[in-house]
Amino acid sequence: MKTIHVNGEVKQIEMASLACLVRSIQKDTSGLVLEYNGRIIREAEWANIELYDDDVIEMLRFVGGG
Amino acid sequence: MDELILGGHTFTSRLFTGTGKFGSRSWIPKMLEASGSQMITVALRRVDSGGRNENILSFIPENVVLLPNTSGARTAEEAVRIARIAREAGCGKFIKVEVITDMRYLMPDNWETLRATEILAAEGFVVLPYVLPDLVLAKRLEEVGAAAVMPLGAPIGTNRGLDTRELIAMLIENCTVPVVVDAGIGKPSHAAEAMELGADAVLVNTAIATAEDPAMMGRAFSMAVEAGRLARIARMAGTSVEARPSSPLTGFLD
Repeated sequence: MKTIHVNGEVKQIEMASLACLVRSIQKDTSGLVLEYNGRIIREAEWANIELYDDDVIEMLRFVGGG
Repeated sequence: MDELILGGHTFTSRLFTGTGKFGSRSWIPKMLEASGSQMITVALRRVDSGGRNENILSFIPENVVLLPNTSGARTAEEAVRIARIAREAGCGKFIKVEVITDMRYLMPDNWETLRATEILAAEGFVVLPYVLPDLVLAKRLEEVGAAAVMPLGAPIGTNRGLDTRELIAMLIENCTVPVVVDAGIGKPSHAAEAMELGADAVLVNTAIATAEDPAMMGRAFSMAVEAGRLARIARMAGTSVEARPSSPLTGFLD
């Protein structure tokens, strides 16, 4: 088990990669913006990122706004 | 309409629009087509695993310039972070700096906005700061590299029109960067009034998005913006208290 932070919440996870984590939270990944430890990661790279304790992940998306 | 150049981009429409508050997002492309608007705002939020999570960008045609906003930011640092993420995510170099801590009137924090504008302009962003119309602040924003200033007409979503008319007029008369009236514009006549006053563009979201037919309302705003702009360029006649006849008063029946 690893302890990570996702969108400000502490999560205990067993997934190995960023790609697995993202898909467990959001099935529809279109337009998803992923920040991993302060760095934007493109979707093609998600599978190559291995997760470690204390990683900080922000999952963001563009929404309607004025 | 005459062109507006902003951040190296040429706009032939002086109506900027927003993506908030549409009952159905499928109205967005219809509204953009009907209004001819060439710039539209979007916001960035954390994914809500249980909520509505459609990708708003998929509703915006590629030829429309994206203007991500920094809504949600309470400090300059938060605004800068949102701007950097938006650019990294492929939203281009335009950014509407919006820093708000007052939740009753959603008044922009002019000081934090100035700080964020300075940082982002130095990083190459085309910065459009949303501000309370204050001439001294507007001149400072110009100095630190703002591409335009966006004074509010009235608080966001109030539809009250140009409550700040005289203060906006000071900005228009004295700023060298474009003045874009943002927030409070509730109907096409308000937009025409802003353009007659000399605004370079207006940004309208609520009044279009919450109309029963947002596409038709977008068209109505576009016509009002064009009418106001043409009236400004054509130079309007002055006003007077006493009547001035438009027909000759002598030469018949006298």
